[in-house]
Amino acid sequence: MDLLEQFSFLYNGLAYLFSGEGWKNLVMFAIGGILIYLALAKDFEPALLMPMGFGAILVNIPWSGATGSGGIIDWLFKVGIEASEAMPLLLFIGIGAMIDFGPLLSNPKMLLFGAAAQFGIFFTALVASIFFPDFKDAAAIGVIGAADGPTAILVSQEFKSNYMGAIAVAAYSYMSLVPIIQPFAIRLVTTKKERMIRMPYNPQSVTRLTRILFPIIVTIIAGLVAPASVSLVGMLMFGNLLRECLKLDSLSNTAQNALANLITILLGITIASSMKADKFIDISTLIIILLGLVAFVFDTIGGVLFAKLLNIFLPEGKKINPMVGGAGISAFPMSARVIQKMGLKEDNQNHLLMHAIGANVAGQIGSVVAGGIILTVVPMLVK
Amino acid sequence: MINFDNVPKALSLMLLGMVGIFIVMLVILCMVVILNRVTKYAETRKAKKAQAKLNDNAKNV
Repeated sequence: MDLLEQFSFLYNGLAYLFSGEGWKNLVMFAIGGILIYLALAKDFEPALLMPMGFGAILVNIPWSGATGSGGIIDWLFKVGIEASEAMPLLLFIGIGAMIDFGPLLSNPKMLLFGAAAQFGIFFTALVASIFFPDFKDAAAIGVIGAADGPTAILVSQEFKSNYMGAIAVAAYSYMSLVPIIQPFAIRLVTTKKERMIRMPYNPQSVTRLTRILFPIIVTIIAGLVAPASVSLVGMLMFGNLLRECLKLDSLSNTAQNALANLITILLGITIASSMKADKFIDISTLIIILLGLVAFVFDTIGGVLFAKLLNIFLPEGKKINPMVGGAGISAFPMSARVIQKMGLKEDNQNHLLMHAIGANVAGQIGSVVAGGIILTVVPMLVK
Repeated sequence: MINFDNVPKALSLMLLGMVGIFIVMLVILCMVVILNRVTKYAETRKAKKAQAKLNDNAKNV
């Protein structure tokens, strides 16, 4: 055997990268690097984007041992996502354990904004349906607007979408861009006078029994309407029940910390399984990234316009600051903080935080209900 | 690449989805209002009973 051939194993990978086929892998290395940079230098959802960025590099090294049969990342994907969407659902237990529904329970009309601010999901699905011939793909792309990574991953997996990688990247990237996207969208559809509306905060007290019964009853209601949502809503509310029952503090702490962190580590790197160069480097990825922006903008606009609609019927003194409607997206607590900051900027005595938190928490429920409804309705429409 | 065949389905999804979410959230809202009232009533009754018992004990003393 020629001497050079004997040592070919040392340079085969490098040679492939600079061959006709390998440029896509190089681009994926760059994308992985960008995600890591955004995560670490710019603080863009570092818990997810850093593992996704590193995973993108791992799966795109030529003949990577981390992929294929026996590869750890593909195995994690098969077991943790493909088989039963276990990872996003288990993460929901942790998320549910972190949520305090108190501000919502003391001001339940905020639930309506949690509904209105899901408009971006359906508007984006409409736009996506023009570019993607498979309607299930369009619906999965629309769920970026849920502003909820696990829901987006779960729906795209249920629909066997080929675009899960792009959907996950878009969902998590835009969630961290909420402080930039929402002010822009809100200013588009509101006047300064509207942004200065003051809302007095007179919360009702919430009993312990209400806090315990709420997750149980929400699961039953959402499950009866959209049975496909039972796993999503159920895991979220189970986590919340662990928190609110006050008898299982160690389990609640485990869910909020160890479980959430463990699943986050694995989920991020597992999603990279769908970021292989041959599938990811495509014009459709760019379209999905752009549609993600549309989703978040129209979520915000949907919530704000609904608040403005309600204001037509409300008397002076009881009007709603339309910005609170924009807090109905699921990006908790970032969206609430954005609204509080915008409110103070317009009027430094106008504290909207508790109203915005109520709407923001309602958005968490709204996004999983929306995901469940999409899982139920889309197969009916596609038949 | 651009194709409008699925637009009617997407519009149906938008209508069914938004109406569905609002209905679910309205039902949850009504449930929360009822829960708040019923549990508060139950707690108030419990507190009144406890207060009455304390008053009785004070009288006996």
